[in-house]
Amino acid sequence: MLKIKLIYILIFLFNFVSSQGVINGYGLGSYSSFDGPINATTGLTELVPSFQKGVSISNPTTWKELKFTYLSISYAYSIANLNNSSAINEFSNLSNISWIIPIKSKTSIGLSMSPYSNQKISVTSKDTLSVIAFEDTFKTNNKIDRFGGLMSFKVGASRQVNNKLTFGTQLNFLFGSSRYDEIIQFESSPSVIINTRHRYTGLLISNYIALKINQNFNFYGKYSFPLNPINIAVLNRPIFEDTNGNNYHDYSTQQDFPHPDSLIVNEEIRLDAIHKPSDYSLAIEYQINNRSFLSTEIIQFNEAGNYDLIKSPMNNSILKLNIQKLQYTHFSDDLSLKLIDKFISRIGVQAKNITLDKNSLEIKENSISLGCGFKFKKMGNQIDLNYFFGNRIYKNTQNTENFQQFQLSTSLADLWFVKRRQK
Amino acid sequence: MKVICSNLLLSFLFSFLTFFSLNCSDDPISSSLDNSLLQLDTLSIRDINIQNYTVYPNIGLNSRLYLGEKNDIEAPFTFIKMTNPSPVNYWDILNDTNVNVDSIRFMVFSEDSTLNQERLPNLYYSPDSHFNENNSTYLDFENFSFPNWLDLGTPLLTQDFDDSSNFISAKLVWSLDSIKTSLNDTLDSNLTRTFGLQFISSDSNFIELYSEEANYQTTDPKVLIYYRFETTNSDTTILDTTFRTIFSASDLSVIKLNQNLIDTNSICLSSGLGLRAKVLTSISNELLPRGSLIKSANLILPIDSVNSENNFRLILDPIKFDSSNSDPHYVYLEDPYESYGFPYRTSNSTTNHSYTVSIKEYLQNLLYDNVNSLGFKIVPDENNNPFESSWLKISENTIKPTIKIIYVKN
Repeated sequence: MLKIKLIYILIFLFNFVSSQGVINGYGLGSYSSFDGPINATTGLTELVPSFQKGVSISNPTTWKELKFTYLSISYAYSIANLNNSSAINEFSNLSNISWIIPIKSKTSIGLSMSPYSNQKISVTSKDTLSVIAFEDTFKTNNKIDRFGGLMSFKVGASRQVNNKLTFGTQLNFLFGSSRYDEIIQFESSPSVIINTRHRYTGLLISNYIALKINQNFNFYGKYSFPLNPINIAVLNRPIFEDTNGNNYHDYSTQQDFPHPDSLIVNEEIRLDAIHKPSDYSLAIEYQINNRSFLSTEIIQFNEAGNYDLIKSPMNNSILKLNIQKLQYTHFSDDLSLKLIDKFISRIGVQAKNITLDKNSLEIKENSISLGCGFKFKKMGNQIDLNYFFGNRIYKNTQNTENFQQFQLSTSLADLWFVKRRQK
Repeated sequence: MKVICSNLLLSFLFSFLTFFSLNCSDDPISSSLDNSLLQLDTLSIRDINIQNYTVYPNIGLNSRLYLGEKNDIEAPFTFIKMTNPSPVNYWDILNDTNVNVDSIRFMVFSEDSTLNQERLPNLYYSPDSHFNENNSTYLDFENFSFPNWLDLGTPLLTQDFDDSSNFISAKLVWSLDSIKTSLNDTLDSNLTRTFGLQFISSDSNFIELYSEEANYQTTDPKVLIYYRFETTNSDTTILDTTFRTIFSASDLSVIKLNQNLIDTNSICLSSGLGLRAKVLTSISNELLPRGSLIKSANLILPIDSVNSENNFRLILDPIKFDSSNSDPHYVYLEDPYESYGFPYRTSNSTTNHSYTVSIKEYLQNLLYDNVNSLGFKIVPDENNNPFESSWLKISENTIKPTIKIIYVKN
């Protein structure tokens, strides 16, 4: 009972030790797929199986190993805080929803939806500026607010070529919108805001390979590149005085200035190929025993897009990412009747190096992932819980950012598309 | 079993509360924000040219009626037109055979407690229309006199006091009993009951009365009809007395333009003298960086405090269309500068030293090309005393007319 109480207290404390991520302010924001587990079932690795034995929700070449159609929904709660800031921020969202259909243990198709990038950030200038304007002195403070981000809708399929080789592919449709508010705040009068809206569209493709090297070793690979680099439709709205303080240029009793009807809103500007990402991942899985696996994965991400044409709160963008991962997974024993054997456990460590575009600034990140899953019912429904935590060191400022993520997923299995005899 | 159940319940409750406490908060992160482009800046414009122009005075919308001469400005006539009340036309009482009209009274009110019986004007009546409240000027009455009007003589002066014996208003009452037939002449299809006021002697009498624009109703010019009527109920006949009030529909004090008072070397603003001003500046839509927001913009004009009335309300309106001619001495029948009006029309009262008025809305819309840059016109407020004026001090070297703009540039 005391242990349970201690766990409750710890969970409760985590709710209040939190802050938003600086990395959301670079380029298109932080990329969810490189920011920790995509789904609580995957653990730290994307390619190497960790959902069930031989299966990764995020790797189409492994889906054929599923015995039933699965619907997996994952919810994440992310928190981070800078060591020199007392700001408290949290962010929670639906992190992944996947629907996977294995077909005759050789082929599979799947759909998934997840956030691609998170741009939510609020940045203020460090210093208050005093401006003498005729007989008055104005104390001003600059602020940038950005909201929104990109979503990713993936359609994937895989086909086993022979007992050792499986190929897979996944189309990644990117879409979304964001709002960028540049604000100048005054001590004794309404703020002035200029607002820009971005709409994003793009299409990426990922090709997968799975190779069974021998009884103990499996190799997985992935290469992604843009079929249609992300285009951005930018709408620059006119500057306004936010008299009613709601951050929107709107009609109200206390009218914003100038009156919205007096403005001619500019047409959208289309900017092509702003985001041209390419990445490859390589992974090796080693089978220690019937239920235990050790795996390693490396990811190299490169950006070839041009971010000079768009605004970003931190005035920089992610150019390169290098990620190394190591994970130990202990799967459940489906034949055992013991409760403890129904559990899946995962533990992983990750080292990430981010290179920013301007001034070749670097961010180093080290993190640990702890996860467990519980299989229940005949079909193998599963609940997974993952806790991911670590820190980022911003080399230019020597700031350290601590982050945590809780993720909970539910995976429901069923026989779909099977004709059942009428009773 | 009980323990397991209570643990499960506790776990569920805690998970529920925890889940809903995971709300998003976004306290700002501090950064140098070098990429934020919004900046506050200022701009002064001193290249301002002001010219007087004259329009024949019309003070039809003033809350007072004037008669007589003050500060060398003369109001020789005042006219009051009465309404035809609707849905019941009380004028018909005069021809109603079922009632007995006791008396008919015409009343006007003044806030001047010093009025005396020797300084009161004559009242005249005409069944025709003689003026338009909004357009008529002295030009329409240059050789006007009242010989063809019915002379109703001078009024009876009474004063109203409140319960504490404080003066409320002075009441000037004329009897209209002698013109009862004329007031409701059924043969006249265009009957317009117009009353005129004029001082008999041309010495320096001056009187100020409430006009219908004062909107007090109790002190509006009005006609009261007192009458008796009988009502029969079974075997009882009741004799009762009552009255009906008919208010004025429009009124106008005619001001005689005195061009001798106009000093061409100074800029004066006066509704009694018909003096208005045009302000020309070097403002254009290229004045400020494109996409700027006007935080504040004020036109500041120095005032000659020696010759000017303090707290004199002036209206500034940006010019939309200019139909003026090049002759600075020309007196216009109508204002040659068509203006934008709301929401660009602004007004303020003068202080001892300056007249400051906001041109923020106009200037912002000038940047959006919604308005043109033909300058502004300044006119005295319609409720200013037409016998008072305000003078601009534009020849002084120390204080210059200025436009001060505080803006945020992107």
